[in-house]
Parts: sequence; C-alpha cells; structure tokens
Amino acid sequence: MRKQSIFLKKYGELIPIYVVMILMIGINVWKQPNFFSVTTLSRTFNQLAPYIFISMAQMCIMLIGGMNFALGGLVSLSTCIFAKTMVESDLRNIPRIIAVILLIGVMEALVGYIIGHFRLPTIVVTLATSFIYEGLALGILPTPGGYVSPNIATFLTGRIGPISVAFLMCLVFVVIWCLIRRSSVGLLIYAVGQNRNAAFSSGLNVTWGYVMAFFINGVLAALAGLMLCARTMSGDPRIANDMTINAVTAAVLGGVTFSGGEGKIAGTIAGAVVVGMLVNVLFYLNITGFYTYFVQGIILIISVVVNNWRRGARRNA
Amino acid sequence: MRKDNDTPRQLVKKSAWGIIGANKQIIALLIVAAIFYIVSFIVSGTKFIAILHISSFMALAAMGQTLVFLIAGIDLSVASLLSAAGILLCTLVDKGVSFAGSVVLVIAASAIVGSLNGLGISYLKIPPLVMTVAMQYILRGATLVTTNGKPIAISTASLSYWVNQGVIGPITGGILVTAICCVMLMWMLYKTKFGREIFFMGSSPRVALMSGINNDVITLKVYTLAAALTGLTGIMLVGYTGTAAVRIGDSYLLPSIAAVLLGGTSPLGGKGNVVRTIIGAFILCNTVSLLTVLQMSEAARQVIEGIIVLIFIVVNNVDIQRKKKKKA
Amino acid sequence: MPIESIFSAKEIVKSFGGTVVLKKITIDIKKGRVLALVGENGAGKSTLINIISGSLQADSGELYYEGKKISWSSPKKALQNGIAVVHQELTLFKNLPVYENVFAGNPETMRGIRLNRKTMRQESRRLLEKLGMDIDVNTLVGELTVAQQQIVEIAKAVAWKPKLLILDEATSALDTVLVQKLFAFCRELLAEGTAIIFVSHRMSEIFEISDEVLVIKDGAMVGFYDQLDGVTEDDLVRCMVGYNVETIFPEKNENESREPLLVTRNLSTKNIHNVSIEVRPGEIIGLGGLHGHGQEELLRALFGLEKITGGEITIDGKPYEPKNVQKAIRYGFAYVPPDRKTEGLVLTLPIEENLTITVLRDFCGFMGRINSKKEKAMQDEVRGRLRIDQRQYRQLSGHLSGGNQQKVVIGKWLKSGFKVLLMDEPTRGVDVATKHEIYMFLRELVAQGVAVLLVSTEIIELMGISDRIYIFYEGSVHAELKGADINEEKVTYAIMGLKGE
Repeated sequence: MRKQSIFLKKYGELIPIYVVMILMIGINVWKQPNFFSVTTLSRTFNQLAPYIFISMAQMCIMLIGGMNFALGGLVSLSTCIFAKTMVESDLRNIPRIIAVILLIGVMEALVGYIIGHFRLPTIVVTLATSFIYEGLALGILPTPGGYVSPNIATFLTGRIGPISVAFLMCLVFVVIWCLIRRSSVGLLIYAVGQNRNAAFSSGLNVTWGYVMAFFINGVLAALAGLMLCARTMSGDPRIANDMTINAVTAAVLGGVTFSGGEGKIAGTIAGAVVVGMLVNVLFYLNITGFYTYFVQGIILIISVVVNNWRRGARRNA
Repeated sequence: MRKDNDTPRQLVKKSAWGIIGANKQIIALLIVAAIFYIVSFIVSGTKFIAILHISSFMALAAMGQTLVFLIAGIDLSVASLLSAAGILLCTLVDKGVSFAGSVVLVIAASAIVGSLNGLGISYLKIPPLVMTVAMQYILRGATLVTTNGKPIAISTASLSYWVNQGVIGPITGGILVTAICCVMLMWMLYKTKFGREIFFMGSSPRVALMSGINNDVITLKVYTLAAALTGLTGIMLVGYTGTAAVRIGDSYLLPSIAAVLLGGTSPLGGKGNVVRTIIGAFILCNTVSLLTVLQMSEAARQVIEGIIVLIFIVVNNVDIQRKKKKKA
Repeated sequence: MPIESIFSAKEIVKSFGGTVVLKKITIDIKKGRVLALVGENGAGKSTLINIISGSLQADSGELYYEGKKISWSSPKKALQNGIAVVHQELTLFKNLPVYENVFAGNPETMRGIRLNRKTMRQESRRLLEKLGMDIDVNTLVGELTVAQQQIVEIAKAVAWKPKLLILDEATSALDTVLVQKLFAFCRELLAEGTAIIFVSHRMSEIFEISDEVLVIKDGAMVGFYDQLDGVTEDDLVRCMVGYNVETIFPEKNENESREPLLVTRNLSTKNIHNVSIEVRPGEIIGLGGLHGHGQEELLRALFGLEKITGGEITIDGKPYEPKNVQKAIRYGFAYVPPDRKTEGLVLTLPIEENLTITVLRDFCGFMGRINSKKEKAMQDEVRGRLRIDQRQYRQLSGHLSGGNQQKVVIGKWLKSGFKVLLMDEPTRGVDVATKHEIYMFLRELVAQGVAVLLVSTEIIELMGISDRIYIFYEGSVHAELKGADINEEKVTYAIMGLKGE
C-alpha cells in the first residue's frame, strides 16, 4: 500500500501528459490502421528521435536553471559539420562521428563554464551563442548539402530485426541518462538547479555542475543532428532553428520547470512524443498548414497553466 | 550629504560629480559607441545621419524590450507582432480606413496583444518566455492565414517618404519618432510613480510586494506598453521598407535583444533605460554596416555579432558580481 | 596536559560597504573543547563563522588551521579539511530526499561518479537516530517540519566527520528533548577530540555545554571567559549588550482600559490554529516562541501574505478579511519583515526612493508625475524623525549600516497612516545605540494612538519592550503573560511548551 502511494506521489503529476500522449497515439492508430506494423513504427521513431534527443538536451539545461536558446542552432550546426566531415569509407566515418559528437559536447561545456564561473544568466548567454552557432552553420554550409554516407544513413533509419535503430538509440541514451541521474553528477545538477548557494555551501562544485549539464546537452544535440542528417541525407544550416522552442514545450509538458532542480526524464519523453507527433495529429484532425502554429501556441499555454495548477494544488494539499 | 556650510561653489561641484558618478557607465558606453562609429566611418564613409536613421528603427523595436527587461521579463512575440502590425496597417488602409485611423487601430490592437501577454504572465503565472513565445506562434499563424504567406505592397507612398526623408532639416521621420518616444519613456521612467514602481519591482519583486506595490498590475501595464511600442515600430517599418510581410519582423527580434544587452540593461531587472538601448542599437548597426562593407558573409557577420554580445554580457555582469561579492 | 589548539584567528578585520563588521578578532579554538560565541544579532558572529569556514574572505588578519596558515576561497576546501558548519539559514534542497541532502558533496559516499546510495541511506538513518529523530530518509526535505530540517542540517555537517564543528544557532527550532540529544552527541564528539564552536541565544544552553565563552559586541571582542565557574548569566548579558537592561527600554504602558484596536478570534492558517489575541491602542504586544511555531505566520497572515483558513479579524472596529498586501495597507497595517535585505528595502536603490515607495500616491499629479518638492519634504521629515544617518545625497541603501537600514524600513511606513505596525525581529542585526533609538521611537509612536505587534526571539528584548506577551507553541497561543509574569523563567517555560512553576 505504501509503495503504491509513494509511486503516485512521485509520478502522479505526469499522468496528464501520458494521457495526452496515449490519446495522440490513439489518433495515429485510428487514421493509420497499420500503425503498429514494423515499417510504420520504424518510420515513426525516425521522426520522433530528433525530438526526443533535443528535448532531453533542453531538459538538462532547464534542470540547472534557465534554458538553452541556442539549442536549435546547435543542432543545425551539427548537421552541417556531419555533412562536411563524412567520407565514403565508413570505417573512417565512425571515429569522425564520435569526434564531432564530443567536439560539440566540449563546445557547449565551455559555454557552461562561462555561465557557471561568471554567474551569468543562461538565457541571455545562449541567446548570444545562438547567433554564433547559426552563423557558423551558414558559414560551413550556406545551402543544404554536404555528404552523408548512405550506409550510415540507411543504418540509422533502419532496423535491427524488427526493432527500429532510432528506437534503440533513444533507449540507450535514456538508460545512460538514468545512470547519470543516479550518480554524483545527477545529484550535482539537481542540487545546483534547486539552490545554487546551498550547493556552494555544501561543498559542491557549482561550476562543474554547469559544465556537465552543458556537456550532456551538447552530446544530445549532436545526436539529434545525426538523426536528422540520416533522414535528410544532408546537412541543413536552418533545419532545427525552430526546434528550440519545441524542445522547451516538450520539457514543460513533461513537468520540467524553468527555475531548476525539478523534472523527470519520463515526463520529458512523453512531452517529446506529443510534440513530435503534433504535426501529424493535427493533419489527421484536418487542422492544416498555418493553423498548426496557432495550435502549438495554445498547447504551450495550456500545458504551463495545468502544470502550475497541479503544482499549486500539490503544495496546498 | 549636503552640509549647511557648503558654499554654492562646493554644492555645484558635488552635484556635478554626483551626476557624472551615477552616469559613469553611460559615458563609457558613449565612448565605445563613438569608437565604433569612427571605425565604421573610416572604413565605409557612411554618414552619421545615415547610421542614426538605420539604428533608429532597431532602437524603436528594442524600446519595448527594454521596458520588459527592467521587470526581469522577456518578450519574444516582437517578431511576429512587428509583421502583424504592418500587415494590419496595410490591410486597413486598403479597405479605406483613414491613415490616422489605421495607425490608432494598429497601436490599439498591438496594445491588446501586449495585455494578453501581461495577463498570462501575471495572472496565469506563465513564465514570460513561454507566454510570449506562444503569442509569437499564435500571431504567426494568424498572419500566415490572412496573407497566405504573400507580402503586401504598401499603398501609402507618403508614409515611406515621410519616414525615410528629412523632416526637420536632415532629421528623418524615423529618427524623430524614435527620439520623441525616447524622451517620453525616459520621463516616464524617472519622473513618474509608474517608473519608480518599475525599477522597484525589477530590483526586488519581493520588496515591492511587501511595500504594497501591485506587481501584477505593473506587469500588465509594461507588457501592454511594450507591445504598443512594437506596434508603432511595425508601422514605421512599413514606411522604411515599403512592404508588409510575414517575415519582416524576424530579423529584428534577436538583434533588438542584442541592442538592449549591449546598452547594458540587465535582463534580471532593475537596471537600465531606453537611452542605453539607443546607444546599444547604434553600436550594433555600426558593427553590421562595418562588417557588410568589409564584405563579410552574412554568416560571419552573425558570428561576430554573437561574439560581441557575449563579450558585452560578460563585461556587464562581471562588474555586478564583483560588487555583489564585496557586500556578500 | 596541555590542550592543543586546532584553529586560531589573529586580528581578523572585515568590512562591508562602508561599515566595519569585525574589528581585529583574535580567537583560539582548542581540541575537545566547546567555545561559545555570544553576542547580539549583528554583532558579527555569523560573519566570523563565514570567514572561518571559507565562505568569506577577511580583509586582513591571519587564519591558522592545525598549525598551518590558511586562506581558503570556498566552503568546499574548509569541508575537505575538516571544518563543518551548521548554518543559521538552512542550506537544504527541498526537492531531494533526506539522505541525499545529508551526503550531498560528501566524498565518503562517492566513488568517482558512483554514489553509494545504500551507505548514504544507512549512515543518515544512523546519524538521525542519534540526534533523536526517527524519520524515513527517503522523505523529501520540503515535507519536514522546521525542527526536523534543522536536525538534517546538523546531520549533514556531522557526516563530514569534522575536526571543528560550528553550530550557528543550530538549536533555534529545537525543543528540550532534541537539544539534550544533540548535546549528548556533542559530548561523544568532544571525547574524540573534535572542537566545537557554539552559537546560541539561550543562556541555559551556553552554560550547559560550553567550556569557554567569547563575547562579541559591535564587531569587537569585549569579553572572554576561559571557565564558567562563578560566572552568571547576568555577567554575560551585561558584557554582551553593554547596556543596562534597566535603561535601554523605555517605560511600559500597562494601562488596559481602552477599546481594542485589533482583535483576532480563532484565527487559523495552514500552520496556526485558533489564535485569539487582542491589541489595544498605545500597546506594544510581543509574540514569543521557538522559530517556526506560528508567530511569524500570524503577522504574515494579518498582512495578507498567508491564506486564512478560519476565524475572524477586526481592526479599528471593522471586520477584515485579508486578501493581499494592498488591502492590508488600506485597512491600516504596516509590516517590517524579518529579512530587511531581501524583503524590507531595495539595496540597489537610494534611501530616498526606499522611503517614499509606499506613499508615492500622495505626491503624484498629472499622469503620475512625482512632485519632487513634496517628496523631498517627506523624506527630510522621516529622516529627521528617525535620525537616519546617511553620508551623501542619494546614497544607496546597501551602503548603510544595519541599524540605519532598519530605520529606513520602519521609516517608509511612517506617513502611510497605519494603525498597527507589525514587526518581525525589529532589531535583528542592529547595533546597541540604534536599538535604544528604535525602542524609544516605538514608544513615541504608540503614544499617538497606534499599536505595535512584534515577534522577537531575543528574550531580553521581548520582555523589555512588550506590555504584554503571547507565547506561541506548535501553532497556537500557549500563554499570555503580563505584568509581573513577564520574567525569564515563565517565558522560557512557556516557549518550551511547558506550564511549569
């Protein structure tokens, strides 16, 4: 009995978003009877994977306080770098891919260091870095293009047996996140996000917390870029620029707060699925084209209001 | 503190130092601005008035943002509101509404958009980032639907002329409007109750609350005013560019925020003003013009803009942190 | 056997803004001994502790730890070297469970990146039991009571196995049972050679646990006792306050004949139950009790900052349902918050603007334009009445001394037409001379027909300034004391929830 109520207390606030997620899957199934077929599922995950990665990245930054304004630009930049560094030999590609992922992680880690050490507001600094990243992306690839190895692209968008590779990638990194959360790094990030001064007094290294949060965010952004590259077979300097806000929407839907130190991966994933499927679902519901912007805005507002309401209700209980 | 036995001379000296001391930062900023202009002039030969004209639109677009920053908020609906205002203006004029009437209606409509932002932020407790981004989406959807994505050519050529040509001597309509708004806003910030409340609330919402200030009402007013200013800018932009289109505002959002930051207004609230933003816009436009003349690609330009903003942010904030540490 | 010194400080000086907060402090802390730091709020104890523990840097002077000269730049270094502090303000993470709070940052349960959660849970459970608390270590700290949170804070410091343990007002929310458990635990630590610095306002605790006492007043050392036989509480108090308790407080008003100005009947909020009090014009009413037992909440509820769940309030004959701060002000309340730096005034704005913020409406004209002449007149008047000492025109409030800052916080209400002035810790962090000025001023104020309702955890102040005292215990009024009943014994008993003789 006790275990049940603890579970409910911990995860209860995620119920609304999961209901919405299931609803959206339901609509997809309704309009696409073969939704659960292996091919459709694989296609769905290919579409969702970038959203999942980018939302996880945004969650990292929101956990430590603030948000990463440059996330979309960073993802676009990563697609350009991938498309420029890939060669025909796959044997040489794999270390290059890993190097690029680490490079982007380190780049963001440097940004995190600046923010943590100089105590700067995250939103504002990432605003500046968004200029830089988007500019760099345009510099590397003024128009979409570059080269993506067909083998790698096929692999990433394909399947191993019946299971989509995109799904596996997401699964692997969610597990990695869970391990990080349970480690001292996870504790550091949540603590600094909740109360920076208390963290400092407790002997925690606040700057290191920022560095780690930003590094993880960078790696996840690069992964999102990789998946996008695989799908479009090219690099595109503007592809993900609108996704920054989508990532925020997904995280907020999942219960992550701006103030820091609060939020669960389970919620973010559900939020990412909802956001990723939104365009399709609106299409099925005959809400097309321009109206999608409208609806996205309304959804964002409603989700925050509901979150606030639940948080207020929980506090007064 | 004034001592009774200060001679008039000593009093003047003390006040002069007081004013200079309080405005040390603005003087430093002006010096930086002058340097940027001189460099830009040497390289490109652009006249002062020309740069002033260009930066006046940037500055006007950034004025609303300045006010919002002062209460530690942010307004990301600026881009689509700029476009929407321009489109609405042209639509109304096309439908036969008088020009003056259209201007009033557009500004009123913008104010309503701003008040919706303010209501969401203060009463629904939606974080400013989320609320204004949502509004951005909603407005973008609305403008796309009404225009089907196509730009509208302006039918009031006179507006274009007035905005872009000299109205008083060499001073263009654009510069004039920006200057008038600047004066009015500075008066509001430093000489009225509302302005005092803005600074109080921006510096410490908690103290403001405990002193009887209604933070919600101030939030509402500030966002409404900011949006009205944005609406005005949208109208001016129609004159500046000659068209109204859905994407016109997009290229003003980030640069306008950059202008505010360059001017030294703090995004955490309580510090800054509109004059600083104008100087910041001036610096930004000089940079852009300089880089364009140096034939840097748009990409390189953007990167350098970002680096400059980053440097300014660090410099502005490191100073604050050093002061904070001393007080601990 | 000579007793070894573990930590010593020589001629430590520290200033903030223009005020010197520590004046050449020299102390020596010995292994296995308890040094009590005694002094009023704002005397400089916390600043000294922050310097010892690495949170602040001294302006000049030297620090020696285990014989070596040190200059630590962060609390982390101090912790790693064996100095742990239990702070006055809690440094806990409300959304994290107890055991994560206890061991956050502690290298003993970290192996590289991995956290040894099993050990964390076991050890925190063991420590908490020793300190007298039996709670599930998986509970989120935000759900604990203030007393429980304080025990967790203590456990956190102890988990570092410090060689020097500093307890800064660590017992402020604890009842007698918990305090005894804590002391028993401390004695174990002392036997192992740990040194302890102990700060508390409760004289009985000081005498029970300390070996030596250092008295600090206005940043300077004014007394040191290396043993406590034959030393009385009065000695310490006199040393600490440097004033004659008889003369610092003005005469009381013990006339009960007038109609009450403020009445609450069975007032309840989330944390207080059925509170019924009366305040008459011309009275200064004190609210006493342990930290977190409801007195502060009552003030906040009256001022519209907390939700009322039951009961009635009448002020000046009119029924009053608190809704928000503006309504509270309209109905005649004024509030001086406990933390003036974050709630009372805006440090980055000049004194003048802080003074007039509540009554701007009174000198506004067209479009809200401020009439600067009228405003200046008001500022001068308030400044004069309270004798606020500022050194330059438009001086930033952050540069004033604590006492002057408090005067500004009080001053901003003077022209608001209030009927009841609510004050939470009215002279915390204020020097002795200013305290006296404030007490005299409060008496002047109430003589004009208003009333003051104040919360204070400084028992001397509570007893000295109040005409009547209500003592709170666990959210309700436990005792009402007046006249001869206002003495330290009765007050201390009531605070502990006892009704003893």
